[in-house]
Amino acid sequence: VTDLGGGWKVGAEDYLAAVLRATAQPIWVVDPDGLIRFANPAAIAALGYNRAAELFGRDSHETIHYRHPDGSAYPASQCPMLLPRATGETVASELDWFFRRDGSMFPVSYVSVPIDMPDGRGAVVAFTDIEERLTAERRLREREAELAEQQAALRRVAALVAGDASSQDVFGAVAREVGTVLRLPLVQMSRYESDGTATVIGAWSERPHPFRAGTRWLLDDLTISAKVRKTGRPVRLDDVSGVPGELAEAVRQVGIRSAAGAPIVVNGRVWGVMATGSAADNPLPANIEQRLADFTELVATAISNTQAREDLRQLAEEQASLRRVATLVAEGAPPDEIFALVAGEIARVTGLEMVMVGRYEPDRTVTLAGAAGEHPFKPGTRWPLDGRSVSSQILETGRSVTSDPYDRMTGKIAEAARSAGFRAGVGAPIIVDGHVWGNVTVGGTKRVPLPPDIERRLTQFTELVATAVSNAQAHDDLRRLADEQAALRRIATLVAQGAEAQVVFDAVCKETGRLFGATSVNLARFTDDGFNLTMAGWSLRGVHVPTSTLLPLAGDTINALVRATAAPGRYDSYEHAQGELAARLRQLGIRSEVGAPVVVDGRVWGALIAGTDEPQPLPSGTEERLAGFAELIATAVSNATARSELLSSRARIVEAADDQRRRVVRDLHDGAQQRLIHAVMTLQLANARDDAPPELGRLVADALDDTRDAIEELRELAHGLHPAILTHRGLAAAVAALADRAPLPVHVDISDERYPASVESAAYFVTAEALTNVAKYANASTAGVTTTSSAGSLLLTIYDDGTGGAIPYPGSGLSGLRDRVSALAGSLSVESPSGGGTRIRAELPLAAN
Amino acid sequence: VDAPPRGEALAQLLREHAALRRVAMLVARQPSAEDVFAAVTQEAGRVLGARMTALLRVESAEYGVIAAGWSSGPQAVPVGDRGALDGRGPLGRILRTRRPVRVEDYDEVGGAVAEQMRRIGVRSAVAGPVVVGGRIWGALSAAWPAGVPPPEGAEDRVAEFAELISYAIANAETRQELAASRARLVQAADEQRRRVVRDLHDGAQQRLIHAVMTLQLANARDDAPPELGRLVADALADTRDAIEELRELAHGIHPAILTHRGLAAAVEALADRAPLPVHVDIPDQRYPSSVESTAYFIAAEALTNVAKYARASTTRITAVPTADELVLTIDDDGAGGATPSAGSGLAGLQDRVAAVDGTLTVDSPPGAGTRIRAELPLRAIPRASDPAARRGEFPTPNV
Repeated sequence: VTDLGGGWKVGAEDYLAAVLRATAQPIWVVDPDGLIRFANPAAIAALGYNRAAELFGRDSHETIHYRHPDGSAYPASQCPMLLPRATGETVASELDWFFRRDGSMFPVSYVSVPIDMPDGRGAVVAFTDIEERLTAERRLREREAELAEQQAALRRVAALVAGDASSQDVFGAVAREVGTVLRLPLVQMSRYESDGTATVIGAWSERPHPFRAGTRWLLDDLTISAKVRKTGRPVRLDDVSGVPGELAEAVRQVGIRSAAGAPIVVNGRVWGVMATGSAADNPLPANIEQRLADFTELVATAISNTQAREDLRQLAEEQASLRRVATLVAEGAPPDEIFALVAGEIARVTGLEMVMVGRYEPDRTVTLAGAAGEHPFKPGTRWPLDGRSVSSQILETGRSVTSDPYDRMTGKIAEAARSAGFRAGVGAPIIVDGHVWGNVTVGGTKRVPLPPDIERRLTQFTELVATAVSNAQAHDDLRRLADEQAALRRIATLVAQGAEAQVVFDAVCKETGRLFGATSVNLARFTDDGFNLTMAGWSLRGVHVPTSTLLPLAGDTINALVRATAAPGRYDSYEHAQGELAARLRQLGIRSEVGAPVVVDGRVWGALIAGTDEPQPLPSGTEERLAGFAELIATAVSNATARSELLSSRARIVEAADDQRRRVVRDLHDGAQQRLIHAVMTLQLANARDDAPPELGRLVADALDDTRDAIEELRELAHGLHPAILTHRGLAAAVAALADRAPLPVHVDISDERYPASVESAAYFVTAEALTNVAKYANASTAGVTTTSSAGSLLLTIYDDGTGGAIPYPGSGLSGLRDRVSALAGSLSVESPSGGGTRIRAELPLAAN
Repeated sequence: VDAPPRGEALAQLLREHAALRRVAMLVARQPSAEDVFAAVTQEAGRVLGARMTALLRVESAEYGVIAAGWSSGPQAVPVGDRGALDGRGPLGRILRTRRPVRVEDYDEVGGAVAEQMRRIGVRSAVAGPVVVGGRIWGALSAAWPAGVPPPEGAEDRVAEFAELISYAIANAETRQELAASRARLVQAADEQRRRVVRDLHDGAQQRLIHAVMTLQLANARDDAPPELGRLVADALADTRDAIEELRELAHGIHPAILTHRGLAAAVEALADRAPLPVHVDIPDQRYPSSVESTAYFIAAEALTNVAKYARASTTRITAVPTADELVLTIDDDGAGGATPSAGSGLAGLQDRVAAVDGTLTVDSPPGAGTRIRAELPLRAIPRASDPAARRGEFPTPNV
């Protein structure tokens, strides 16, 4: 009877009923007429009934399955649940809707199995209320959609981050995405600053709010941002009403009641925060911290990328900047140009508002060689190192100065920097050839703080500046050397050309003055009796000891020093120097001098001296360089001396010969001639007597003739050597005598005055020789001799109207006279055009040679 | 305006200035021609980076000669070589144009010089004129081998060096002309003295000797009335005195014995008349008359001084001829301490000695006697206004 196989046996009904009643699965039985024959307690309860009797006998379809879920009628003929009665096939449905007693509808899955009943075939229906499962499923589906939305948002954010949009745009967009996706009224992201503040980098809200990008907020302890910073973890605060501070107040003003935040961790460091909040009527989602964190992770990546990119860009920009400077340096541009460029480039790559390139001066000042930005440190201005400043520290240590606040510094530089609004300075030394030549200093304001690793970056520039300075110095050295060589060459060429010593002196003073940047240059000669004779001078402003000034060579001067040491030297201050010369120099404003000796034939002939009216003496080494010029002066003096010695030697020879001629003539006259005149007179007396025997008278007459002849010959000889008339009566008379003896008319126009014996003698013999030539060769009808005096010279002219074409020399008697004339520093010229007569001119200086 | 030179250009400029400065300073010091030529050819060659440089001198209308040279290569400059002036080489062209020249490629020039240049491995050259007294004296040239063209403007730069050579030559000529002029004056004075002495001897003295002989005959006669005899005797005495005075005068002007028998005999005669023993050691040979005169007058003046001041017991006069000069020394064993002051006879002789390009030194330590030493060159003095002689006045080495 208890056949529990494919079909129930009515005979086992009780047993079945007992089982069905115990099972939790709602089950009921529909009879062949479609009426409910049985329902177990689970089914009764599920359908909202209290007792089985309320269901038994009712039409199953019309009771629990009469409508579609949309409320439309569901005819029983269409109900698959009833089909097994007719077909004998089992029917199952995963989703259908049943109606409870109260009319409410609930989702079910069911199976309807045919059952043979005594009165025909019915169906057993087992069902499960799937409302909960469907709800769960729906929830799941919703959650998936939400996540998809967030993922999409994250993807968009990632795209933004990866894109080229500027950081601010990116952060703004991220805030908007987060706000939209999480349905939050306010999202803002901030960067933590070192000073306990945070700067907004992006914000979004559907409401008005004060969190503009770039605004800076103080992080009071209890704020979300402060907590995130402190913990490095997401933080949630469900009620912000008690949080003190400006930031919390602003948040509340936007209408925020609860708040949450998540850290933006960049390269392991809490870089910033993403904070959000919710209005009073809408509490924050439970997992808001995690969901914010999903976004902050992306933002962190973005920032990290951006920073990396920014670093790269900065690096590239810095390299480009350094290259520009290096190129200019390599081109050997003038230092000022390089300093200006360096200042500008540093300002550009660092974004700083104060950049200066300074050069240290020997007097503990710094001169600005280049600058960029708006500040009082203009190029060319000079600042004392009178306190503790970046510049003074660099000079003292030779090292970089790390960020130093100006309010801790002292002195004029620090004062000026402070009042120009600069808060801190950083500097690096410019080291040229092992010496601290200068520095590059930058200053930061509150608005533009000093960037990190600024020193390292400055150093790259200072190295280039050092190279530029070193190059420029080498270039300047080369240039100066070239100028010096050129000047020496010009002077040497002048000396080589045999220029007058005075011309050389003047040129040396001028050249050295310009070359060495002196205020004045003098050439002094040291006289044997201890005086200083100024031979030449030059000065920048027309103030120098004038030429021919004679002052005692005593006291403290470079002149005395050079004379004593015979070596180049210097006198760095005349302030307290003794002596007339030093006083004279002070009077001319000369503060210091350098000098080099002019050594001629082993003796200190004089000194070449250069002075300056600047407080700084001329650079060291100037005296040695001056020596090269002094040497040329010595050469010029030596050459001039040699030449003048040669000239005077020649003149002395002529003088000596003239003297000897005159002496011979005088000796003849005073000696032999007197004796002979006496003899002649005696013989005349003897000859005149009539008491002489004839033979004796003849002898006396012969002797008289011989003696007379001898006298005449001596007279002629003497006349040829040096006419007595010239000695006694001068040139005019002597030439007149010559003219008288000439075989043609000679017009004489010579002044009666007397000239130096050597001049008269030379003029006389030139005239004599010329008139001899006229008589011999000129075929002239008349001739003339004239003299004029002009510019310290006697000008003698002998002319004729003859055939001309005279070849002046060699061989003619005039050539010997040419030496004689030039020995007197005179000149002789012959002009004798063919057929145009001959004109001989002699110019004879009257001054003693 | 050109930008100031930088870097290598500046360094090159510096090298050029320095080279020209060195040469100019050398020329300024008026050194020997050899020194100038050697310095210029080397400095110009180095600064221009030339293979070789040569100083070419115009020898005649037809020929030029290489007076000096410098080479940076293995091939030496053939100093002394002559080249025909066919107008195609640098010197020939300079003679025509008087301007610096540049020859880019001798292969395209042809002519004798080009042939010579090819032989010594030179392809291009520049040259600048050496102008002395307005005439082309020669040219300084620099040359480069094939493949190395002369630097830009090299012809102008070589001309700057050539100009310095011009100064050196002009200076030397001026200096030598001055010295020669002085020497000629001395010579002329000597000649005049000799002529005066000869004229005296041949003229007045002969007459007077004749007169004396006549008067001696007259005086020897015993038929003269006493008054007349006295007059004749007086005239004879006067005439004899006159002869003696003329002889003395002539001797003082220029001793005849020096003219006729030379220095040794003349000094012996001086020694004979000296008041102390004088040992003379002079070879009996003849020297140029200016040297003989100078030496004689030095000896005479020295002996006068010895006699006057030296308080010496003996004196020695020595003359030693070498190939180039006569060295005359006068030693005494007197008091020493002689200083030839200006105006003294010895000081006046300094000029004479200098005029013959000699030297005169007086060494007279107190108490140790006096030694006077004269070195008198034996070479002839150039004559004035002889163009050939003038050109030769600046000696050209190795030519």
